[in-house]
Amino acid sequence: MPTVSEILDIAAVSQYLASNDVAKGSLFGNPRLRPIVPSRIWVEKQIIQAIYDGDHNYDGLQEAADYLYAMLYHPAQASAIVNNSNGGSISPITPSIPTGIYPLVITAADMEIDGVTYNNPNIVGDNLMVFVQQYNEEWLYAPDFFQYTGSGIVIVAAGFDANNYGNIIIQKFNSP
Amino acid sequence: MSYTVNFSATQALGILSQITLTDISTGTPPTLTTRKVTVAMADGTLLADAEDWPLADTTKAFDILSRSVAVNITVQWMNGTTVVDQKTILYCFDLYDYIFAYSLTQQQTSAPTLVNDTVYWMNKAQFMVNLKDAENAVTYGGDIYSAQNSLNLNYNMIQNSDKYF
Repeated sequence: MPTVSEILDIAAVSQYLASNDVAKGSLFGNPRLRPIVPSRIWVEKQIIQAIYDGDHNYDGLQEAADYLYAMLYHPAQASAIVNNSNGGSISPITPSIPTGIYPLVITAADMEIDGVTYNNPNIVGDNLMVFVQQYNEEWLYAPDFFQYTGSGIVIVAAGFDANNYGNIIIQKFNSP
Repeated sequence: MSYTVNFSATQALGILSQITLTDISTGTPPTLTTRKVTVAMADGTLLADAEDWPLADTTKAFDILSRSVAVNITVQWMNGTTVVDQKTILYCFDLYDYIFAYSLTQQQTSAPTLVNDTVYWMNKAQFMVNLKDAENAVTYGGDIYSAQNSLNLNYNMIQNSDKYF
């Protein structure tokens, strides 16, 4: 026979199975078992659980648990549910970094107050080229116009201040 | 580090009449001379009235129960006659009822058809629901009155068990 602890675990599942079948019997007009069965399991389980929690070796506890086990509904199925470690699992979905952000259009308002630093974790690691409206109408590259930082890019062209220009377009190239 | 007073109380299956208090205060204690313990039921009955709990005893047992009760336990940390700090916690000590229910279960093991008696079973189920009601009233409601009322219903069933079971 299972141990007291095992019987208590099985009883919890058995109660659920019994409640489920009582509900199905009512729904489909085909009673499968007496409606009182789940409550009987609950009552006896509560008592034995309380005694077990107070003293694992209380006098007569195993016999009382065996009695509970004898009244369980589908104990074999309940035991299989308790002990089954292959019940399936849902693999967590790892969110991917969004790749559809390019071409990325920013303004001075999106940059740091220094007017040359742009921080965006989504562009870190990509090969970038930069187009600045009203600057020189050419795509500009690292390391002469800007340089990569651990959090984005910093424009190193002498005297550059994004507040003096319009849109800044950041595009990715030759990056996976 | 300031001193935060606290205590815990437990009832053991071995000696149902006893509750054991444990001082779990933290921090640097101020000057203290003793502790005082008061245990009050919902109707104001004092099961312990400013009982002494020496500082040297981290735990102390109070043999004050004769049935399941919901009580407010107040512990005062004293410096002479001055109350330095105090704490009150509501507890539900219901092992008497669980032991009674357990005795019914043990009877059933030797007379399994007992559960087929509708009156027996409905009363036993009601007994357990009353127990859960008392525990929930304390745990979730902080309600000593509802808790004790539920335990009183069970006490009546225990006192008249020949009629109910």
